[in-house]
Formats: sequence, C-alpha cells, structure tokens
Amino acid sequence: MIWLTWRQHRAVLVTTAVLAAVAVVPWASGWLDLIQEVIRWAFAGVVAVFWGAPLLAREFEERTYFLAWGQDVSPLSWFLGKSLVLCGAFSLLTLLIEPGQVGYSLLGFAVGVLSGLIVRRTVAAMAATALVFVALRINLGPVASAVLGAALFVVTVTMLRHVARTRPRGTADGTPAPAGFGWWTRFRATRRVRLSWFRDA
Amino acid sequence: MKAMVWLTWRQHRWVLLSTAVLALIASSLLVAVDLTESPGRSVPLPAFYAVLLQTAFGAVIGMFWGAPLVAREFEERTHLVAWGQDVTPQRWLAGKVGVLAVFALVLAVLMGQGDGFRGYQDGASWALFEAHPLVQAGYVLLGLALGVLFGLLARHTLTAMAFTLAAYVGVRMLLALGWREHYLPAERAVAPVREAASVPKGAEIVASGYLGGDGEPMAVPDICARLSRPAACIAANGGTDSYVDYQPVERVFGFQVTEFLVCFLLALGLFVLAHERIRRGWRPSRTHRRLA
Amino acid sequence: MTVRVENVSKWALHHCSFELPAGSVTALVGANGAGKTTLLNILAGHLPADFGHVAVAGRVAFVPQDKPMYKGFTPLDVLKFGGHMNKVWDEYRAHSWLHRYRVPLKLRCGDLSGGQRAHVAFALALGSRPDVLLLDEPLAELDPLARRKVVRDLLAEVADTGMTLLYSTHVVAELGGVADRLLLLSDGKLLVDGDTDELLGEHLEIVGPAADEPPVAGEVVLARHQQRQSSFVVRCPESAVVEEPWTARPVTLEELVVAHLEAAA
Repeated sequence: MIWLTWRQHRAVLVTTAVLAAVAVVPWASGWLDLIQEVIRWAFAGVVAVFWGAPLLAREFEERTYFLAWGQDVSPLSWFLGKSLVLCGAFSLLTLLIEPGQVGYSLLGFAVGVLSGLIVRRTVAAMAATALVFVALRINLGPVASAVLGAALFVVTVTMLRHVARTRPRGTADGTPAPAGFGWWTRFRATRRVRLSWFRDA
Repeated sequence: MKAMVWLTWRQHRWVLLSTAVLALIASSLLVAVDLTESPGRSVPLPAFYAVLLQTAFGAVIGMFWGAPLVAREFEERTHLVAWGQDVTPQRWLAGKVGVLAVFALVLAVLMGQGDGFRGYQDGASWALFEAHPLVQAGYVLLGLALGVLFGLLARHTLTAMAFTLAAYVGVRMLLALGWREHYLPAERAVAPVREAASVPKGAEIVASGYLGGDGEPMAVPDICARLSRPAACIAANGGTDSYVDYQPVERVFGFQVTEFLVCFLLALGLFVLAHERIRRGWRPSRTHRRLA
Repeated sequence: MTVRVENVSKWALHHCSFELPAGSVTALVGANGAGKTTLLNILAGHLPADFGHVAVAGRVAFVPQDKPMYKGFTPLDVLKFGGHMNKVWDEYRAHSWLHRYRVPLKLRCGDLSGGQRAHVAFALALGSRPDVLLLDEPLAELDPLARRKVVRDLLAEVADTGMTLLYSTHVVAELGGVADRLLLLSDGKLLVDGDTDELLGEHLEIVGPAADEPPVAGEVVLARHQQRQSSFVVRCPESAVVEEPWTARPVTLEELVVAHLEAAA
C-alpha cells in the first residue's frame, strides 16, 4: 500500500513537502515570513483540496476504480491503506509546521475524501471541499475538528463499503451473483448521475 | 463569435452557474450588511465568509475556470476534436477566454459592490481596498489568465490548479504588500524629533523614522533601538526630526484604478503568451494550405 | 495531388515522402510503433514535423484512434458543435450516419459504448465535408460485422464526395478490396508506396529448387531457403517469364505486406 500510495501521489506529496519545508526553514526575510504565515494558515486547506478531494474522485473520473478495486486487495482495505499512509504523511508535515493544526488537517482530509466519494468529479469535489472546509475551519476548534473528521471518515468508509458491495461477484459454480442494488444505487440512478459500472455489470 | 458563446456555455454552464450563485450570495451579504442601520463593531459571520470569498475571488476564477479550460481538453484528449474544426485553435482560445472574461467581469462587479462592514462604508478606505468593482475586475482577469496559461503549460488539471493558486497568491501578495504603496511617491509628514508627526485621518502609513541633519532618513543606532522612548537618544545621535511617510486617503480611488491597470496588463501579457504558445504549437488544421 | 509529404521526420519517422491523389483511398499499414499515428497527427496539424514539409490541399478531418469526445455532450450536441465550429457543415450527412448505426441521440457520449462513440466521431468528421479524411485505426472498436458495413459506407462517402481517405491499420487481413493505394511503414521508414493493383501485379512468389538467386531479374523482397527448395517473393516487371522447374504465382495483398514486414524485421 505504501508503494502504491507513493507511486500515485508522489507529485502532490513532494510538492506539499516542499511547501512545508518553506514554512519551517527559518528565513531572515520579512517577505518569506509572510509567506510562511500564509502557508501555516492554509496548510490544512491544501491537504483538504489537493490530497483529500482527488483521492476517490480521480479514481471515479478516470474509471481506474476498475483497476484499483479489481485486485485481490478489497476496496475497503485499499482505501484504508491509502488513507493511513496519507494521514501519516500529512500529520507529520502538519506537526512540523504547526502542531495545533493536526486536527484541522484531519478534518480537511476527511471532508475532501467524502466529497470526492459523493461528487465523483475531481474539480467539483475540490470546490465543494474548499467551501465546506473553510466554513468548518472557522467555526470549529482543533479538537472538535479532529472528532468531526473521524466521524466523517467513518461515514466515508460505510458508504464505500456499500458502494463496493454493489459490484457483482461471481459464485463458485460460475454463475454470476445478482448485483446488489442497494438504496445508494437507486439514489444515484434516480439522480441521473451515471455510474457506469452498474450498467456494465 | 456566436459559436464560441454557445460552446463556452454548453461546456462550462455548471461551473459558471455555481460560481454565479456563489457570487450572488456573497455580494448580497456584503451589501446587506452595508445597508443595515447600526454600524457594528465587528463583522457578522456570514459577511465574514463573504469577505473571505471577496479576497479569494480571483483565485476561484483562476482555479476553477481558467486552469481546467485547456488542461481538461488535454486530459480528455478532446483538444483533437476542438482544434480539428474550421475554427482555428487561436480563435477557439480567444473566444473562450473572451466569453469567460466577460462573465467573470460581471461577477467581479457584483463582488466589488459591498464591503460587509458598515463601519468603513462612508467614503474610501485603505483597509477595504479590495471592495471595489474595478479592483475585483483586475483580479478576476489576472486569475483567469494565470489559470489558462498554466493549464496550457501543465496539460494536467490538478497541477494547473495548484500552480494557479500558488502564482495567484504570490502575485496578490506582491501587489497588496509590495507594490501598492508605491504607485505614487508617498507624502511625508515631519515633526521635531521629540514629537510624533501627525498624519491625516485614514491615511496609509508607508514608513516612519527619523531624519538626520541632512534631511534624509537616518538609520537608528543600536543603542537607541533598545529604548522604549528613543527620541532623546536619537537627538543625541544627530537626529533632527521625526517623519512619517503616508499615502493620503484621497488617493485610494486612483490607486484602485492603477491596481486594475496593473492586473489588466499582467493578464493581457499572460494571455498573449498563451495565444502565442497555441499559435506555434497548432497550425489551423482546416485552412486551405496551398501545395508547394 | 491533395496530400504531399516531403522528407518528413519526427520521433519514429525518418524521411518519409509520398503523395496521395485526390479521391484515393489509402491504407497506412505498419506494425505497432511504426509511426502511423505520428504521421497522421502531423498531417492533421496537431504535431509539427521536426524536418521536412507537409502540404494538404483543402480541409482536413482527423479521427484519432481512441475517438476522444466530450463526455458531457450528447450526440445531438456533437452535431451542433460541428455546425457551430465549421464553415461547411452537412447536418444531413452526419445525422444519417448516426441514424444508420442506431446511435442513441440523447445519451451522453460518456455513457455510449466504444463503438457508438466511434460512430459519433465519424459523424462529426463526415459532417464537416472534409477534402481529406484521416482515420487512425478506425475499426478498432467495432465488431467484425460492423467493420464491413463501416468500410462499405466509408467507401460510398468517398465515391459520393470525392474526398481523399487515408486510414491506418495493422489488421492486414482487412485490406483486400478496400484500399486502392498502400503505404507500408516499418520502424518509421516507408517501405512500399504505390497503387495496390500495380503492386500486386509486380510481386510474384517463385518456388523452385534450392538456389541463391531467383530465376528472374528484380528486387528480392524475401527469400526462404529449405533443404531442397527455395522460395522468393520478388518484385519484378509484369513481363518477366519464369521457366521450369520454377513455378510462379501472384501474391495476395496480405502476403505482400507480410513479406515486406518480415524482410524489414
């Protein structure tokens, strides 16, 4: 999972790490102080918009979930593994920059991932994440943010399990199992948001 | 022209509409607070959100309108469709950017209507420099041009959005904190060294310090810098006057116009770069090319 | 001539030159990675050539191999797009193509099957009434039955409008009876360029006793030697006479292509 996460997200990981480095290194210039201030303030937002939102939305948009979820690793452990690695990475970076912000980063990541799962389009998910995150960030303290983040994460996992379960699975004797069309599927279908895999199935 | 209006609307209607809704809400909040009878001490929360969006509006346009414009075409490989018709790639770009720019300008005028803070509403103020249609117009043009150019160079939506955000924040900081105070030479108020120079109401202070015997600003000696009341020390070290450099509040509008022009010219330059890039990269595929 | 390529080099391509007459149907054949897509992209104006000169008389339409299309557009939107973006637009022609292949007009392109999306791309290209139509692996997404129908309809369009058609393929078996010109690319070099009928007339497969050389004068494309028997694919004048104990027979287009590709490999 570490390898996959690194391979898929290395560009954004490296860029964010550079950003964090800029914020941490003590410069002797007034200009860079200000930039550092901006980075410190906005770091959780960057995590939300550029790490969280594309995580699932991109898989949907590029239809690579066929690939990612068609392996022996179950969709759930795929998601948990990736999230764990990414959470570890950004928590570390946030700790370096501003330890008080870890809660916000967690919340941002959770908001981003959830909106990616709901919206399923990268750019739209990023916009939604930015809006929701700014609203929450201003109104919540770091501890409340962490708690809400964890709660949202649980919601995401539950939804993802449901979505993943609707994929048809063959039975041992070769007859395809009926696809489980749950409430989620019907909800999506009535909203005319095309989920191609249900039809393809 | 009609073709490009149709195409732009057909392809981007959802993002255009949602941004418009966002801008309408924000602008109504900004104006509503201005119109309330009793000026508050602090900004009400909804208006605070609106002010936040007002500050970031150019970045929103750049990231969500500008950056995906070309980058998404590359990602989906639809540039082969878009640039394989009779409309040349340059005209495609100019048409799309033109339509989007007009739409963005309308939204910018909306966003610049209010300041969400009644206390400063009467007359101009340096603190609310951004709350002006012209300034907002400059920022959206700048954001859009940055987004389009980065989209064309990066060919990847997410990357282009990240670069646009970074570049926009950089340019915006440079303008607001670096250049803005120097659009015109600052006025200087001078007082005897033991007194504080008085500055007109509402002026933006650019610099302050002490003048030496030659009338030029002098460096404060280290021994004086440690003191809480350094005046006597300064006088002993050759300082004759204290001074404050400031921009008077009457200049706000002129500076807003200047800021718009700066942004407009920057945006124009960036757009010309993008246009040239496309013109060199893609020959119009359907013009009649004469056989040599 | 409607298409002229002079000494063009780019990436895999090395100094390619050829000309296509108006109204011709040309197959661009080559193995994967031979440079077919690069060549078509250069002709369509999406890639500048590093070296050499390309000229196309008239308007070009290009359908890339993966048939990219705006996912959010319905086929009707695509036709509207074609109408707005082109000076010449034949709505009827485009519409009837979609109708003929029963492409649902009100679904988003992102929801269509690969074959249906290919038909939308063809309809957009044909609707603009191009003088030169470039198709990159046009039949890749289609089933064998649809392939024949599409080929027949495309040939009808060519006959109808007099446009020049250049299409790339690596399925050699489907060449017969379609293309009247053949361009054979291998490793970026143009091996064969000519009229298919003339090419077929020029090539002979000659079989006889073991020998180092064939019994006729001409360019040996491919020589195969077994213990007691040699066979040659030879490019020689049609008037060449083969005497006993040698036997000669004409080659099929498929054999011709394979012989050239094998020799180049």
